[in-house]
Amino acid sequence: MKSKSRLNHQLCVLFVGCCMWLPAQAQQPVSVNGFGSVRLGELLPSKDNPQLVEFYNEDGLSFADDTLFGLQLQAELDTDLSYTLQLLSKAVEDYDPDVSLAFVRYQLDPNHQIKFGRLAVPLFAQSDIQYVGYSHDYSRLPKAMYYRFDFEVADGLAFEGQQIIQDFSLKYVMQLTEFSGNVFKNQGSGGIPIKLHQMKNLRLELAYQQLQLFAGGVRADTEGDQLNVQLLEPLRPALQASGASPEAQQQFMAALNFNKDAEYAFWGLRWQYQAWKLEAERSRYGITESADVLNTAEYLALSYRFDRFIVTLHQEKLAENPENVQWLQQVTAPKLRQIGLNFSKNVNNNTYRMQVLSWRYDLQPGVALKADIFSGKHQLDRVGRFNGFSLGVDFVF
Amino acid sequence: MLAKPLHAADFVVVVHKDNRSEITQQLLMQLYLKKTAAFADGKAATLLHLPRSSAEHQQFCLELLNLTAHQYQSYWSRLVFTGNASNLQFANADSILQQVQQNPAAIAYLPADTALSGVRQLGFLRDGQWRDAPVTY
Repeated sequence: MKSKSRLNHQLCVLFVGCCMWLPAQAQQPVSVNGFGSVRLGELLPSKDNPQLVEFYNEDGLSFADDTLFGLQLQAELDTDLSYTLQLLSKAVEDYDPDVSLAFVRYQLDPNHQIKFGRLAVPLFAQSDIQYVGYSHDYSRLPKAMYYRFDFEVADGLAFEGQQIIQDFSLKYVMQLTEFSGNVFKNQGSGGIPIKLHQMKNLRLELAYQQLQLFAGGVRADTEGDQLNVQLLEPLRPALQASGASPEAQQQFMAALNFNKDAEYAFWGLRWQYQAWKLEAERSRYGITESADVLNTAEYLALSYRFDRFIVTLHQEKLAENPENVQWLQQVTAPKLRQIGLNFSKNVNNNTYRMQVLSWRYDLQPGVALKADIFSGKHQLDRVGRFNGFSLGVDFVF
Repeated sequence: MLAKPLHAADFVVVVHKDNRSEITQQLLMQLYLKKTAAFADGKAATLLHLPRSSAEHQQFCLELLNLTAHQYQSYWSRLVFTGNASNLQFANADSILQQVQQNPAAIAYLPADTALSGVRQLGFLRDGQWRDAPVTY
């Protein structure tokens, strides 16, 4: 961790140096932009903290969960070629900066471009702007869906385009990327290393006047040997105690194995009518035919604008069904099936719904004050009902 | 005969004098939302805006896009922080006129009472409705 900090510190120095040096040297404009959120919040009562990922897990008031800063350098190398470098520092990671974007963009024509480098993986419709709080009306994008995946950026190639078809506009993004890094970092010990090979992504957006429909998906080959070692190997003693044959045990472990295809899909709509805005999105994802059961996440939001003041009410829901054990289909021994079911109940238990009322006030250009109150219910008995609030400011420059 | 007063919310939309593209309200909206970055003839478009805090900019955003100026900036920040657009370009009417005269890719809106010279007027926006004709009084 320390070496990562040193590396990131050097990266920051280099970045700031570039920010100061390039504008003076470049013949083409170099723009330096930034964004940030400073937010204070708390779950009430704290003893019932549901331990949602990066969501006010500490007791008492916390600045850490939603506070972050981003800095972006964008330069035009010539009329068709540009580069973008973006650093992101989150309070929850003690402001240790990460490279969130680093790509070269080549403009094929005014409406088509390719990008090469570190890209935001559009797992869901708004994944690429999830940290730019100013760009949306929520205090935070619905957590049930945008709960900050460890593989939200990856290295590769993207082709992006948009077309006008009569009165419709169509936008399409295709990506091919690779990810290598740690997941479950929030659970301590630096996380578990995995690789996602050949992440193939497609995202479509069709807009007509104030209506927008969107859909997309990701498919990747998971290389999760360490996931298998750390999560599945502890089951060995129970398997041996079951008295099942070695072949049956092998079949059981193969059924739970994480080295399979990861699949993400989302779809939804956004509709604006006068001062009203409706937004809905639904997604399904997981590692197919493995112990990682299918997750479904969704939200429905309705907003009303009073000039500078926007009120949004939304409901969000995340569901993991631990009893959906189709992956145990090949396992016939009752004792092994029971071990599999118990394992599934232990690892697939994040099911909750939450209602959130948010306020946004546009204080001045580039600065929005936000507040929200939320109330939800987690399926785990030890969590149950929870409530909370947050206050903060989002800005861009 | 006295000219009728201009409607408070009239805007003329202008491009370089050599730009022969025609435009519809839908295309104008798509350009200002960067859902397309090109005129109908496929040539790149560069958007210019009146000063961010001006009443004219705020009115134009509402009339054309049904967004407040703040919402428009919020929307545009999505494009900037995905590396898909540069910052919005703001300027006063005189400077905009000058830039449109010089830049074949430029497109801008101006208050309808602006004295136009050396640019081509595509039409005007009145009460949120686009008319592809010279502004009438």
